[in-house]
Amino acid sequence: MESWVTISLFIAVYLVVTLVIGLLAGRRASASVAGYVAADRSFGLLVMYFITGATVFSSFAFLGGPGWTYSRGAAAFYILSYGVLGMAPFYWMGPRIAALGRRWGFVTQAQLLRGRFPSRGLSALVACLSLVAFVPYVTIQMRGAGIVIEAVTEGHVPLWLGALVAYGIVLVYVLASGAMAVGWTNTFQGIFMVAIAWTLGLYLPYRLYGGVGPMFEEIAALRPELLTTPGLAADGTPWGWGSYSSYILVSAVGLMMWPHLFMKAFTARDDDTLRRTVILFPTFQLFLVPVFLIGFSGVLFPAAPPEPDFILPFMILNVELPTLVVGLFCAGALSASMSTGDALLHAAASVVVEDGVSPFVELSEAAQRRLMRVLVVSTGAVAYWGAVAGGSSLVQLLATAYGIVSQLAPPVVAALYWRRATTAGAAAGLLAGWSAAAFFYLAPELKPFGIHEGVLGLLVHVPVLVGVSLATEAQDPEHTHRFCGDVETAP
Amino acid sequence: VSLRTARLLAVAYFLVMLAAVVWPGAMAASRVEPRILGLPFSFAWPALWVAGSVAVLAWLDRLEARHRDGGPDAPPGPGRPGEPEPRNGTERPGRTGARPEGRDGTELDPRQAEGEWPDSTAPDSGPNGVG
Repeated sequence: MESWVTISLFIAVYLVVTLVIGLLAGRRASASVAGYVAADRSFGLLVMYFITGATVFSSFAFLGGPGWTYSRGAAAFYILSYGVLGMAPFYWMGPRIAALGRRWGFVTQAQLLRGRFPSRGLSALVACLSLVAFVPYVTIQMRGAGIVIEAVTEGHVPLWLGALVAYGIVLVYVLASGAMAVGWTNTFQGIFMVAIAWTLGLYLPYRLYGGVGPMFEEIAALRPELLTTPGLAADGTPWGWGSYSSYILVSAVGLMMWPHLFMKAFTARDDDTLRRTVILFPTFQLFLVPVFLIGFSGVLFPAAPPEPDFILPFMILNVELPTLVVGLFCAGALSASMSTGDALLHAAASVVVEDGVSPFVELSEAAQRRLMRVLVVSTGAVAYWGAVAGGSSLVQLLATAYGIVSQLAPPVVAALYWRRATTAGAAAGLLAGWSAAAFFYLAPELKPFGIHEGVLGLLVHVPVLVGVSLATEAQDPEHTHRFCGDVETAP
Repeated sequence: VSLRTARLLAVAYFLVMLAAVVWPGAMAASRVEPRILGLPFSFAWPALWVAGSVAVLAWLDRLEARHRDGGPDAPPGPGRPGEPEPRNGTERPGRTGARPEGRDGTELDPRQAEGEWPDSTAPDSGPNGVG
């Protein structure tokens, strides 16, 4: 049997196992909205750990990370730097958000915002922009799955078909089982990702150079510019410190504001689970170290892949690994893609229905669940169209998406910790922040020091939020106490 | 160490880490030597800060847990993943019940105030407290 056939069979088995886990998990969830969106708030530490890790690290990290180290060297270290900084505030915020969720029945981020700042317009605005940020992110995941399958089957399964099959399976289990399926499949996929990354990341340098140390000695001798931060820009010229630093800042601020990650606070069983998820997250994040080693191992390799993002499958196929290992790698890469893609699709539908539609139209539970399913399919279809149509600017789109979601941080923090914040202030801040970020995205030559437009948006956002809040009438102290007071969570 | 000091120290760690991994901290660390476990220093630098944050957060959590439970009996380290201790199962419903559920009344409920949120997402529909 030819090796690509064996690998295809391996992928098929992997996909079937994922599907079965997803469908079985759904049988444990209740038929309510809280069941579909927040898994009945039932997840324990094991599931939360892998959900968080596997959801944060997607095709962007698993394929894009090595792609960046390969082509831009130390620039990729920004991906290693921001995760923990973004996650740490959740040690305190997470339990508070979860408590408010239990208390008031919130299952999405905009519901929490609307609880504190009662405005349907604000909620709809957050829902719309979340959706705008989600679509390119899903597209990247689908392309990632397609790229991997096309590469390892030597083109016998083209990108469009690979992405279609992988995401057809994601659709089935997300539609059938909601958050419960996302949680349990991510556990399976997270284990895969970590195991594969560490194994290959240590094996490839050993196989090609005789070890990690010798590999970096050779790179330091031949391509020293790759080993010092901030590394290189996409065109091979040195990258700026302003860009490197602000990418870390905007990603750290934006990370937990992604609705699909934020909503995970509502799925945890209890506060200890949430806190320990945060504590253990850095151990998952260190899997970026071997992922980067894979990218570096390709630097001095004589042949080059068609695009930097292909470096991981390219190296796998070029060092003549056993078929079984290639198959395992595929499963790991598909895991990275699907574990983020499913959470994104699921969250996009939940957010649009709960925050964009429900506040305006009265819907029954059953109608809400039905509408969510329609939206999962339509969001998936739009993203699939983007994935197949190609898109060299996708990474740029994701960076812009971070500019959008990072603007959610000031109102969320204000909702939880600043009693004087008002609805007008939150709305004005969001509009100002998004406008500023959009302006600098469209006029990149005006950005000082190449600073990311999301950071510039925040610099406009926060003063507007504070200023307008102080200029408008304070909220009822009873009301703010329920969000900012210590009754809910503090020891 | 008091809880307050511990929290301040933890926050301080992350602020220092932020300064260390962006400009200007990262610029000072931007060199190949000394190499750590074979990695260039510029690469090992953020990785070490990430690894250190596990220790800081685990230490803080021990103190927080001890404080929450009001005694030295239960410092739950991160070494026991999986099921929550039975302690939580008995503790949480008590705490939940102790919250001023009735005080605010339906009138002040942020969802009820607009009068259109589905009842099924009412606060007590979730299985919170079921340990």
